[in-house]
Amino acid sequence: MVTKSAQEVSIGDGSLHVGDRVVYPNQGICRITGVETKQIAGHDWEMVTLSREEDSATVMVPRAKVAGIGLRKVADVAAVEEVFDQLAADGEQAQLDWKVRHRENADRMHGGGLFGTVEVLKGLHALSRIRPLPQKERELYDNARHLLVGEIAAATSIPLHVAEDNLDYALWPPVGMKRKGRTLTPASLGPPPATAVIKVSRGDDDDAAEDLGFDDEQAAPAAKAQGAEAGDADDTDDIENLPPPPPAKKPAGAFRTALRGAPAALTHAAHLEASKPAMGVARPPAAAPSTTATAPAPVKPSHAATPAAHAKPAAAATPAAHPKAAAAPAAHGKPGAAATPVAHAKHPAAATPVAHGKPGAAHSAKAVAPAKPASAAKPKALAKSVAKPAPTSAAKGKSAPATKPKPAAKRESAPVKKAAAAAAKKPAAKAKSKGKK
Amino acid sequence: MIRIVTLNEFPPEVVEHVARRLHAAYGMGAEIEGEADLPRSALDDSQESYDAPKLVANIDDDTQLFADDKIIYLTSEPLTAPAGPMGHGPVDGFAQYGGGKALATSHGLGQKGQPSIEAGLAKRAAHHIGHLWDLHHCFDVRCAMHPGWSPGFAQYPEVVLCLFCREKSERKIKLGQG
Repeated sequence: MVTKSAQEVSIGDGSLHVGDRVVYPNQGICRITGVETKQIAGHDWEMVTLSREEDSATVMVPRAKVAGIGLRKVADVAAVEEVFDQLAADGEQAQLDWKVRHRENADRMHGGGLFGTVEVLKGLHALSRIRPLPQKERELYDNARHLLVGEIAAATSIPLHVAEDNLDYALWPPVGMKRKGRTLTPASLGPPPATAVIKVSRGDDDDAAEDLGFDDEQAAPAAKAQGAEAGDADDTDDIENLPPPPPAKKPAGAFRTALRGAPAALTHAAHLEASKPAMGVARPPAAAPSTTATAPAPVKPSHAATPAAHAKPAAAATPAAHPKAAAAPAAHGKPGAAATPVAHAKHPAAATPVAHGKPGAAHSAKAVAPAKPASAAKPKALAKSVAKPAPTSAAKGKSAPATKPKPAAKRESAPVKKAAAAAAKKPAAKAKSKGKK
Repeated sequence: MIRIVTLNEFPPEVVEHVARRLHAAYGMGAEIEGEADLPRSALDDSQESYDAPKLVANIDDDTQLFADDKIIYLTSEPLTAPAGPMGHGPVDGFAQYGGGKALATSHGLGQKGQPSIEAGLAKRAAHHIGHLWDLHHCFDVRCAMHPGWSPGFAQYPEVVLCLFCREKSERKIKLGQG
C-alpha cells in the first residue's frame, strides 16, 4: 500500500485536495485524509480516503469515481446566504406526481450540489404541509436535512444545533423573523399559503408505487384539490380535462370528485387527523396516559357497518396508511353518501364512519354505524373538523331516513345486503324507542 | 440512562414529571441526578441571559457519564445562541448533536399561549435529548422534535414522538447500547 498525502495531489476535477472538507452526499461532511494505492483482487486501485466528521469513520472511494459520486467542497458563506434566501422565499412547490418527484429528488441529491439538496428539502417540506410523507420520502427528507445542517454548520462555523435552528427559522419562521429586511410570514398550523404552487401531473402506471413505499400516493385527492385551486394554469389543465366523476364506488372516482373542490380547511384538517394515530404510541414500560393507540378490538365482520370505509385493514392501526382514511371524506361529495354502505372495507378494523364533506352526512354516518368503531382514528373529531352541519332529524334521533341503503345495496352481494339491512334496523329501532319516551 | 441535573430550583413534581415523560418517550431510565451551579462565564454580552453553547460547555458538575448515558440540564434562565445566517431567534435549549449533553429552559412557559411549566419543560427536554441521538427537527406538529417556537408546541403539549423519530431514536439507542 502506497500512501500519498501531499497537499499537491489533486482529486476529482482538480478542485479537491488532501485536507479539504468535503460533502459526500451519502455520508455527510468528511475530510480528505489522503490517497492510497490498494491492491484489490490483483489490481492496483487508487483510493481516496475520507474521514467522516460526525464519527471519524473512514470512507474509501476509488479516485476515478470521485467525480461521479457528487463529492464536492463544503460551500462558502456566500453560498449559504443564497441557500437561506431560497429557503425563506415564498412559493413553495410540491410536486405531487410521485414518479417525477422521486426521479427529480434522486438527481438533485446526487448531482445537484448544495442547491439541489435545498430544493429536495423545500419540496418535501411543502409536500409535508399538505399530507404526511411516505416512509422513503421521510427518510430522504431527513437525509437532506442532515446534509444541509452539517454543511451550514461547517461553512459558517456555528454549532449544528444553531445551524438547524436557523434552517427552521427560514422554513418555519417564528413571529417577527426577518430576512434581509423582509418580515417572514410566521409559521401556522393551517394549510400552506395561497401563493403556494402545487405541481400536478399524471403518471401512466402505478404498479411500482408500492415497491417504492409510495402506496398511499393515490390517497391524496385533497392535496390535488388544493393543487387545482392553486391556480397554475398549465397544471390544472390536466384536472379540467378529466371526464366527469362516476358515482363514488371506486377510489379513482373518489379522487376525481375530490379534485373538483374540497375546501382547503377540510383537507388540512383531514391531514392532521389522519396522522394523529402515528403519535403517542407509548413504549411498553412507559406510563404515559392518554397516549396509547390501541389496536381495534376484533369485531364480527360487518361490511354494512362500515359506511364508505375504503381503508385497507391496517389503515386504522398503522399511521402510514391513514391518509387513505383521511382521503375518504373528501371523496364523498353527496349529502347522505354515508347512508350508502359501500362495502369497500376489507376488514372490520377499518370500520371508521368517516365524515363526508357535506352537512348531514356525518350524522348519517353515525346513524348507519350501529357499533361504535374501535379503531384508533377519531371519527367524531374528524367529522367536527370537516363540517359543522345543522342538526338534522337523523341526528336528533327522531327518525333515521338516511339509513336506507337502497342504491348501494344493489351492487352488493346477498350476505352483505342482509348485514346492511340489519345494521340499518338497529339505530332506527333505537331512534323510535327514544321518540316514544 | 438519562440523567437530569437542575441548574435552578424547580418544584420536585416538575422534575419528576420531566423524568417520567423522558422515560416514556425514549424507553430509557431517567434519573434525577442533582443540582449544579450556573457558570457566570456563560452570560452573554447583555449579562441578562446565558449563551446556551457556552453554558453547556462550562457547567461544572460531578455527573459521571457512561457509554450511552445522556445528561439534560434544566434551567429557568433565558438563553441565547450565536447568530446564524438568519440572525437571532427564539432559543429554548441547546444540544450537542450526537454528543452527551443537552440543556432546556423553562423560560417563557406558563405564560399566555404557552403550555404549563411541567408540560412544556418535559417537551423541551425530550426535544433536546432527541438531538443527542441525532434526531433532526420534524415537520409533524405533534412530534416532540417539531421546532419549539411553532404554534404546534403550545397546541400539542404531550411528549410524544412521531413514528419516524421514535424508530430512529430506537436505532440510535440500540447502537449506543451495543
